[in-house]
Amino acid sequence: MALRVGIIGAGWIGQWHAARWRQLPVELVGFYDVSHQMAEQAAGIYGGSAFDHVEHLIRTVDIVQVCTPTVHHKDYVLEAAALRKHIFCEKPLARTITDAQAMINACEQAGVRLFVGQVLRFFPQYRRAKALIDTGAIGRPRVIRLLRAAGHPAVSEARNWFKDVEKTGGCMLEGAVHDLDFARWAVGEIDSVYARGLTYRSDLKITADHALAVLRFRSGAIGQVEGSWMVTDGRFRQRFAVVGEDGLLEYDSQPRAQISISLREQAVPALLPVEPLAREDEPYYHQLAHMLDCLEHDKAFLVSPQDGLEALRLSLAVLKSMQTGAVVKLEELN
Amino acid sequence: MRAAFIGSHHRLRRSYTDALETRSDITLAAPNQAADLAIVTASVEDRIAAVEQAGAAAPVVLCPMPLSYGQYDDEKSLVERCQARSILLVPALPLRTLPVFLALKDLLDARTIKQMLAVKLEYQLKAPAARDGESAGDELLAETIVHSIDLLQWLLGDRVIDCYPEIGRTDGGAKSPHTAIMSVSLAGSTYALLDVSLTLPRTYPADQELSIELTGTGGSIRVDAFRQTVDCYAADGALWSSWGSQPITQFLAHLIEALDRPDALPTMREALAASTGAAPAIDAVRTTV
Repeated sequence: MALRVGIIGAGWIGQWHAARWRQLPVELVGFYDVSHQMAEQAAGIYGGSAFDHVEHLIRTVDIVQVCTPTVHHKDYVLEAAALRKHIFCEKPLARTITDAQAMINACEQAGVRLFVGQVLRFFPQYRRAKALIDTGAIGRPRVIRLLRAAGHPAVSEARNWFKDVEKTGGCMLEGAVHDLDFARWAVGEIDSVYARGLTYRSDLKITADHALAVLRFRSGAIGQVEGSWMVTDGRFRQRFAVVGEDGLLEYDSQPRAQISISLREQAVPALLPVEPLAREDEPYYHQLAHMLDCLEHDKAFLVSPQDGLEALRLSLAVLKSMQTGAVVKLEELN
Repeated sequence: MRAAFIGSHHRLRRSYTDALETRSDITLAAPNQAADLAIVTASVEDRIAAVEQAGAAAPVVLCPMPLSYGQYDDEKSLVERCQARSILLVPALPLRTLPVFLALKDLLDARTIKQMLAVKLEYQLKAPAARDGESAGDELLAETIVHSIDLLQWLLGDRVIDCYPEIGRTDGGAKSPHTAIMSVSLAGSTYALLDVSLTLPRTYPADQELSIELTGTGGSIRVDAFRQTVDCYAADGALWSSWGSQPITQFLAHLIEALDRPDALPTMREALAASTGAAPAIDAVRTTV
């Protein structure tokens, strides 16, 4: 019998996942959202029911997918664990380390599997880079450069919570948590971070967030990460470069030109996302298929709950450095 | 020996082993007129002395930056002495004359993206060859750091007031520095990250890559200084017929053209400010691990 899936949080990312679940051999039972209208709308598009009570949804399914704002992850994960359901929790795992640890503990005690949506590990470019590094194609990594840039996500009333740093942690927690996870996955454990950014600036008259962080790894490698919610032309961009002892790996989602300029007040049509040619290359589909495969065959997830916790710890270290203006050692952040 | 080799290779009329020999050449008219322009390329450790000597051979001296490793009083005193003798010291800061940065400077001066918030600059070169000596990497990295800080300060018309550097080093005995990633604050509240490295692989199709990304309240600008916009893919693989501007050629042409109007040239005051801004990073590069 097909596994039954329920989605908590019927916003953009919940619906994005719903479209992928429909391509997999599962039964999409339905949605719960604090806005019942949102749940109904999602159910109307992707099938299943709109549930009035979250407990009802959780009791009805085998896999609970938590796609709510980050600050609510903990409550829903604890509730799902208490009812002994496997859980997919969107990244970042939580807003605080204490919450994340409590979620991991609850899942372990209940004997359920917790998957954290660090989807970058399923992007073909990043997977390929990791594989090349692991096979020694560029020698030991010495420098890593990472970028994640998009427009500000608070584009509607329902998404205004993205403006609240206490809820989101800004671009370095909501967005660059992917890159910090990749840095750790590809190069190894990080010793310290130093960062400057706009996340805690209150004097700007525009809705904006941006940060630049410097990383030092335990191996002696160094790196830098840029997170931005300042893109004005709608063109999402991600990039990595890894310098090894014997070579260089580079990827940039945008072509490079001598001068590129985009202005806040100039309307530029956003480029439509290009769907990958092969379904199995689509990272969100691949992520869910991987989770199902691991559940079915009792295999380890590519992203462990501890990986989700460490990615969170890195993002919080960056935020702390921005706030204090000091270097933050990862071991100090518990 | 090396001067003789280079002189012969480039078919120059003369070559000398040092500035004293240049001055004693009886075929030259008089001291301080051995040449119209002297270009100093000595190692950092010898630069202050070399500039002093070059000033005796020519009225204009092109000085590589930094002038020393942290001897700021000596640098200042050298500049003052040369000024008193009407010797024009021109800091060699070739990046400022690249057309792409002149265009960028115009955009920034016109406040195209309004209030500047953040800048990221990445400058990658190939490591020097082993024959250039053990300290060549440290020196090239130090020079590139100063060039990058100067470019940032010049473009923004601002001053670096704080610099946090992380230095990447090779493994093994020598532990040579290959990368400096610097997080800096500018006086006008802009923050920046400068990532300077000698890590381009030998096989890379260009000798250097320099990109700068600027984020303002009104938009953003991205510049890839050496990235030509047309790529050529042929039967033999990917080919690039050219990789953008030639900074040294560009700078020398500008220098010759601007000799009669020195206000068009970068000043030693600006160059020394770049050296001071770069000091924490250069100190970190030279710290023995």
